[in-house]
Amino acid sequence: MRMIVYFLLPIFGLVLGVVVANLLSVSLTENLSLFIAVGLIITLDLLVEGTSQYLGGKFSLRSMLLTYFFNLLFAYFLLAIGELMRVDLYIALFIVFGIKLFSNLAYISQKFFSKLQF
Amino acid sequence: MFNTVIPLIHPDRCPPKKGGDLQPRHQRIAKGTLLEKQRTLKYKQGPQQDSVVKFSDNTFTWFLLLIFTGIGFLGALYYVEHETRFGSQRYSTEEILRTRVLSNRLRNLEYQNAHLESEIAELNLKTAEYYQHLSYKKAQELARFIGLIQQEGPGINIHLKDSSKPLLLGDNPNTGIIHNTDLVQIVNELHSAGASFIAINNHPVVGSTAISCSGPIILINGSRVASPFTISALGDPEKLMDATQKPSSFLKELQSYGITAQVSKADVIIPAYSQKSPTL
Repeated sequence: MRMIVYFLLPIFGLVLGVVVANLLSVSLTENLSLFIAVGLIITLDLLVEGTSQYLGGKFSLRSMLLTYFFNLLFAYFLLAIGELMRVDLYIALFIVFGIKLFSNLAYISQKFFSKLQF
Repeated sequence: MFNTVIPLIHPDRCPPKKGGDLQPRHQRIAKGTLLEKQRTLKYKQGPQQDSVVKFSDNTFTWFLLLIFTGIGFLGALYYVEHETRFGSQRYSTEEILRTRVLSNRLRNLEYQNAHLESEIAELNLKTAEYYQHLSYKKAQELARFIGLIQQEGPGINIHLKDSSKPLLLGDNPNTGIIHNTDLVQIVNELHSAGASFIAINNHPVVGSTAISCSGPIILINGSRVASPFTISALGDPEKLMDATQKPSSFLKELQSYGITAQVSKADVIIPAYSQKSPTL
């Protein structure tokens, strides 16, 4: 029973996010897609990092939130500077967060499939 | 599978011993074995730390909730229609990007189209020029047979006179005079030698010209032509002279019968051929 709840809650979060996006009216600019993409990759990186920390035993919600906030802040700051200078600085963001994502993912796969009892 | 227990005591249906220690129904674990150590340790230490992955940590679920909300929000933001700054139409980011891609492709195709259209115009012009040239060439070829325009240029003149040798008894008088067939053969030779235009006594000889005989006169294009004949031929004078002076030429044959032929190079004028030629 608890397992079902624990799986449904993230899906409920997804639906909630979609609803909020529908209610929000954002003015479209040319680079809105770029901002969305950067936000997405930072969120995904944080997700994988969170699960890897949890499986390693050192999970702390406070640290997760802090890193999320400051990551987003700095990422959008870099995007703004890149737009001003007309230089593609977001490429660095994608590279770095992609690397982090995949390295954490490797750790998760090791931990998960070795400790879980079938 | 990894925790199978090896039976150490056979099941015994004998009545229990009186007064002795009551053995439990489950297997008695012998002291000093590995299994004993495992069992006692488990009860002493409590549950081990990372033996099984459990989702019983509350903060982690809240964390997951937050993250998935963020993902859903950002993903939906891409597809949901928003107000644009430029008009009252509502578009989504995805639609805007797609229109940009399509407009780029349209621009490329229009550019290629303009290129190809200019190529087509050039090629049309070229084909028109070729057709013009072709028709001009065809007209030039036909002029040889039609002769509608007066031609002037270098060529040769041949003066033919009937033979003035006195007739001997028993001679055929026809051998000494010029026949229409002789004229036809001379014209043929000149044509084969490269003459482009020929006239006999200022009557142009074209493709449909008939050189026919009617008694003492010869009809060319229906008009009377009488001896002596001056055949003017337009062409390369050297070649025409060689053709007439060859020992095997027809002129030599005629000269052997006594017909005089004087060949000279001159600038000849071939008059135009008109269909309304004077008839008999």
